[in-house]
Amino acid sequence: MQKTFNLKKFISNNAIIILIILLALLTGLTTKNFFKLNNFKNLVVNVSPRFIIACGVSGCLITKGTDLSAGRAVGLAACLSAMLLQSLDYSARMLPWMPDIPWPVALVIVVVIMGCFGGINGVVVSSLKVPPFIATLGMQTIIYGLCSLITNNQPMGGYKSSYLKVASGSLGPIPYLMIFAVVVGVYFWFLYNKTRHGKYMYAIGGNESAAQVAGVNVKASLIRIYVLAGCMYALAGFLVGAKAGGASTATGNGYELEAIAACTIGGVSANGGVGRVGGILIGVLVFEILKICLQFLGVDPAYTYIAQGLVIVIAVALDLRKYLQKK
Amino acid sequence: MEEKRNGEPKTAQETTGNTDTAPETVREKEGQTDKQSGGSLFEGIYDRLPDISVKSVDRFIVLCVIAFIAVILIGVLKANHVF
Repeated sequence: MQKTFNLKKFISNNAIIILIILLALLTGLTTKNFFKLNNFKNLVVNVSPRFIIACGVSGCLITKGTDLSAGRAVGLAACLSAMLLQSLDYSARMLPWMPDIPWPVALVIVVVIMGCFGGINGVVVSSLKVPPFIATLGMQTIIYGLCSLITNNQPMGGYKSSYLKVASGSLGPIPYLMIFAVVVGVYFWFLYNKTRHGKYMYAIGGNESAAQVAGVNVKASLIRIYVLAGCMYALAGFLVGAKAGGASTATGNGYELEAIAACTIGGVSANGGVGRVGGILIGVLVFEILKICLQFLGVDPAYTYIAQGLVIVIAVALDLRKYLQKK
Repeated sequence: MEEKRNGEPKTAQETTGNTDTAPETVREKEGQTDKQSGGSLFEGIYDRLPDISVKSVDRFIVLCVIAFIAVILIGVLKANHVF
């Protein structure tokens, strides 16, 4: 049976992507250097940590939860990485007694610490039955407070060159940041599509009671999802710190809203139970391409915020439309 | 007979009593499932919305798209000092 191409359905399913492609084409035709390799590299470098954060948040959204602590967790991870990887001869070292440790060791330490914070979120949501919105909102503030305490509200810098190379270096033409993002993307695709954990996650998002009755250990699954999210924020914070060459309590501020918005644009339903890694990547790309286009067009950043907000509203409205049509 | 008749209402009462408890049992189970769900603020968010037609959502989306294009146009025109 031949499937007829429904133009209206295609446009309604991909409205945002079509808008952004048109905007990118307009920008490319009216400005110089837009369709250049340097700009593409810049896009990839900006997208990579945001994609990692969005992957972490996606598990929470698919199970009808959320994680508002993502941005502050990224900031704390960046600050912890800074404390562990400052140069030995830097005069304002936060931890003067800290020996020189390789960056992979520092990354593991940061991942373990942020994984614990994720675990606390998971326990509060799954065992104490606190709504994820409230639990993670509280955690967001707690993490910000901790970050202020450990950094003394001072910005940090003076990193080792090996740490800075993680963000600035590349394997041939491919930036290391992109390699990190690709590895995370492949891992999450495998996890969501080929493992029991992924099936349980979608089952919980679709109907938690039914999943429970079917024998899914909902508590354990939710805890695993939030721990994994915490680990992703740690990795993203580590990379953001390396990219920026510095960290402070303001690092990561607002990243959670971007990540949640990107997931929504990419098809992760607010109603739970739906979401693909490919869609998440598209959502992050939409946001970053929008920002870059408006930068190239010389538009005031205030208009960029308004445009981003409208994109989020359109994405949620399209999701609602799909739900109503199914109904 | 009267006993039986007396018995029947009792049986009916018992039955009624039982049916009174059955909804309670269902209500208890629903309460349990609500507890199990964790009570996310976003859970069933679309179900809680009033009856909305697809057409009204379409109109809203079109309005947002027009607003999006207008914001970008205004931003670009201001950046080029047109106004």
